[in-house]
Amino acid sequence: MTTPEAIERVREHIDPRWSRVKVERELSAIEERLAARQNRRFWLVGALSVASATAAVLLYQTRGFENTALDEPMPSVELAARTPRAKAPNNAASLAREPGKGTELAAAEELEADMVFDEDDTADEPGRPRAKRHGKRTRRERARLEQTGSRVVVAGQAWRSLAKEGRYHEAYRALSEDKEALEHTVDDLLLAGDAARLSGHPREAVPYYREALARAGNGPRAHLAAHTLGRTLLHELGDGRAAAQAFARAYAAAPKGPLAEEARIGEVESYMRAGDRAAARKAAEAYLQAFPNGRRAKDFARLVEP
Amino acid sequence: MGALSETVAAVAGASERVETLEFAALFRRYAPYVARIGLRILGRPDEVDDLVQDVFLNVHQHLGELRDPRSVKPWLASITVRAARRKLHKRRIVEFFTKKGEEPDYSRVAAEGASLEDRTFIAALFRALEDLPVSERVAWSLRHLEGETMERVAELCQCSLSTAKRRVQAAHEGLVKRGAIHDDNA
Repeated sequence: MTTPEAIERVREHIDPRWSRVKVERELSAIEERLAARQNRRFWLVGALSVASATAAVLLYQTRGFENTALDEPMPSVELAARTPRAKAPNNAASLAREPGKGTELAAAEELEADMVFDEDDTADEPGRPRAKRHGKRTRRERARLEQTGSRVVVAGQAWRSLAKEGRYHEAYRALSEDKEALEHTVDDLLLAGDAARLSGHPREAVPYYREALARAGNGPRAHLAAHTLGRTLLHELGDGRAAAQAFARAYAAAPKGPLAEEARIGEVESYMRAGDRAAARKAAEAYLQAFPNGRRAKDFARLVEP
Repeated sequence: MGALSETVAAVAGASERVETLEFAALFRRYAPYVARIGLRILGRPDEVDDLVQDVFLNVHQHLGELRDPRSVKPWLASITVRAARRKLHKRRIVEFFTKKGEEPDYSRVAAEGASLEDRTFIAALFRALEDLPVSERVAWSLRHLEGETMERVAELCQCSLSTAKRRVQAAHEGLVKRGAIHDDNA
């Protein structure tokens, strides 16, 4: 079957198929909104005036918006007097905040400095809200610095900071230019894989994920590494067979973990992508055994029907 | 269109009561159509209700401007495509600034009763569409999922015919590259 024929066939299934009950329910909802809108109009003029004034104040106060990257914990640096460029502000945060004023590093320049780190007790974690700063600790140590745009970071940290900020293209580029910066820990490898994948280089992400999985062994991150590898292989590269193996590994690493069901689903879908119906059926049976009331139980039951 | 077309034509300058009655009739008749286009462009069932509401709130505001009852459906399609594009752009911005969380469940795009093969194919398709530029995605969806002619795609996308063709072709190549569809020309 050609692709146009396949799409023609599935098109009818891409339809929310609103029932009469659904239509009436939505109509009631919209009529309520229209009625509420009528009542709100009266307050609109006053609200607009207040909003305009507020916007003006906020705009004035947040002129340094482009420097919100500095909200992240980053080292504040005291430039020792003996460094060749120690002219003015002592603090790298200040340095980054006011480019063009005081000391400014040339692109990719390194200099040695006595460092004062402001560290947050609760470090940022992906997916969690940014932690509030409380109980700062400081330490003084010597480190090489480099400048990335308007930011000053410890040498080799640039790609990591960029990746954690979601700036994956820049992170991938930074890491490509300085592969030595990669520490071959599971976390670093997963982050490097994400930088590659989410900047549009899924093929380059695979070796990072594979190494992360190898290093994770039977550890607590193994299921995450395997699951991420599986998803990349299946959804980005269309390699069903390899993806199935990765998902099987993800399940084996944590059969009671939070991604267990997703791993089993991934395995079924991977075999289907690979065109191996027998294996898909076997994987579906395994899924139904583990998750008889799972979210895909109804679908997969059809697959295993005699 | 029969009775509907006559009463829609009468909306301009009509009393509020007639407008209200007619809006309800319009909604009942066309909301499923708008919802269908919305799902085919957005690929997220949980965003469709909002989209339909946005479209019809807009319709309510501009209903008096509608003169030709024959143009109701294309008019609605235009509003829907514009609203869907805005949602897609907004989604991109939100996802750019926030850490990527759990991936949406694209298997839910397919309606009840779809076979497992079809559901898997549809999920892979929408997952790949998510990565395409909005303009290409919308053009391709209108052409291949909604079955619009290229001329109509150009109208709905508010671009020239050649631009519409280029976007559809680029989207096709993007979907092939991501393994969502096969390259039948290869």
